[in-house]
Amino acid sequence: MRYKIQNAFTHIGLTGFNNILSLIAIAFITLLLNTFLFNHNTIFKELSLRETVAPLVAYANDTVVEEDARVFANQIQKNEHIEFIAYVSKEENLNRAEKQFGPLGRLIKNGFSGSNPFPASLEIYVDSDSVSRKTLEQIAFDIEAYETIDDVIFTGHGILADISRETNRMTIVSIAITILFSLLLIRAAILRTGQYRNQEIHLLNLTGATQGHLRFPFIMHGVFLGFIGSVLGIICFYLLYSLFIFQLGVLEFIPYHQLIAIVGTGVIIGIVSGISAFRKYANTYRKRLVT
Amino acid sequence: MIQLHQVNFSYRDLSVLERASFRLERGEFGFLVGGSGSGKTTLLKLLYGALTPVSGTVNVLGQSLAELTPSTLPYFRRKIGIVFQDYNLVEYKTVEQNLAIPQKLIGTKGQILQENVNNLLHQMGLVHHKKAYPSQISYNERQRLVIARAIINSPLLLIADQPTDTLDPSLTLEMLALFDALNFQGTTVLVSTTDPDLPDRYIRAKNAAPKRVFTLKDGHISA
Repeated sequence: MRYKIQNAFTHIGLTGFNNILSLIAIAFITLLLNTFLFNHNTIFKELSLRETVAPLVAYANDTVVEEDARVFANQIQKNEHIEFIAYVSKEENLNRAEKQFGPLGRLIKNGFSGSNPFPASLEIYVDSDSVSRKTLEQIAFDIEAYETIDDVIFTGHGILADISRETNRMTIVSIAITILFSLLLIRAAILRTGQYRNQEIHLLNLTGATQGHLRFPFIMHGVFLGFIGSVLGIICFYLLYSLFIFQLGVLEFIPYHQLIAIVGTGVIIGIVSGISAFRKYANTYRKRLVT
Repeated sequence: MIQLHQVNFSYRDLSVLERASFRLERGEFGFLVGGSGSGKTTLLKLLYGALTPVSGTVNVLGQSLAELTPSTLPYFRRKIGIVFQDYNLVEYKTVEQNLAIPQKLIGTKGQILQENVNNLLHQMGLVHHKKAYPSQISYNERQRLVIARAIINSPLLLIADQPTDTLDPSLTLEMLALFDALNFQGTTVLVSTTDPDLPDRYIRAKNAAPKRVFTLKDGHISA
């Protein structure tokens, strides 16, 4: 085992410039992946914070009494995308304004000398799978057609959900691209080193090295590139994050479990690349290795 | 110990060995004599499993080479010391590191490894070059290093492919004397050469015991 490890270090150390170039490329790809993950996490967090807020709020006109509003709510709830509708009375909206604006809220109340300027409203919750800008606009269009409704407002759910879906897609695509490019890069770097070590591998093979002896340096080289490359990518991203932290405000860095997953994936890609590179090498030099 | 029976081998259309047969018993010392391109290297490669015959059987160290698998072949090769014609030295490793390769492969380490390497470096007169790289030593010294590497694991069989062709005459006899000493300890030795007079010259000069001589010509072996 000790000799296998020594051999692996020799293998890695032989093509330093080749390794450095590969590490830079892998680190850059990981940096891009981190950026997508960061965006994805931020949008996902923003969306989860808004889970308790209704995506649509329909304001009823002042002539509508509570009973009529509830009947109307029952009517529009027939829309397949609507999950449920909460009726908020004029009084409750006034109380909310008081709570939300504090002393200003009392000022508003007093300014209207006892009369309530807030309309009653219907908070419309939509099935989370259906939340999209298009669906919400369609629902709002349908509701606005009723005379009892003065206005319908969007609370930003639709756009955010659309962006979230796009970001999800982009993140999955970027993960796939990262894996593919890293695999090809690491494999190419290992193969190049293998070709450089051709004479030694040939000698080892003829003096009794097992396939394990020969394969181990290839795999370790892959692990080295995958691990160091991903860690470098994370460090670069952290430096950029630290540089722009004032502009980013409260946005959180990528959580630990995702960082560990990135490095772990890097190591796995390294192992797979190492095995694949050895197979390619063995096929190219089959006459030397097997017979 | 070594038995070739009716072996045929060809590189595509070029036939190299035709129904070649010979037998070298355990503990014997044999010379394989043949001109350039006669197929000596090919024949030796068949013995350590670097080539497979088109037909015929090859038995070495009691093992039929046809029965070897990729997983058993390495362990078979560890019993054989090979002096390659083209040296096969690792250019980015020092003399000492090159010599240690076969020892490390069989798991020798620490002080024992160092002692074995140093002893052989002394014996081969390479101790002053232990930290040098192969490109920094002479052809004579390279040849000695290759021989040292072949015998460091005390092989049961030593196969030497034209080991003395680049050495000066006195060193040639010294190297053969070294092989003879190994043979005396029980190692079977097979040395190939292009020089048909070498076996006789060595026996006369060193007053050595007679050796088996096999001549390879036109793909056939004659004893």
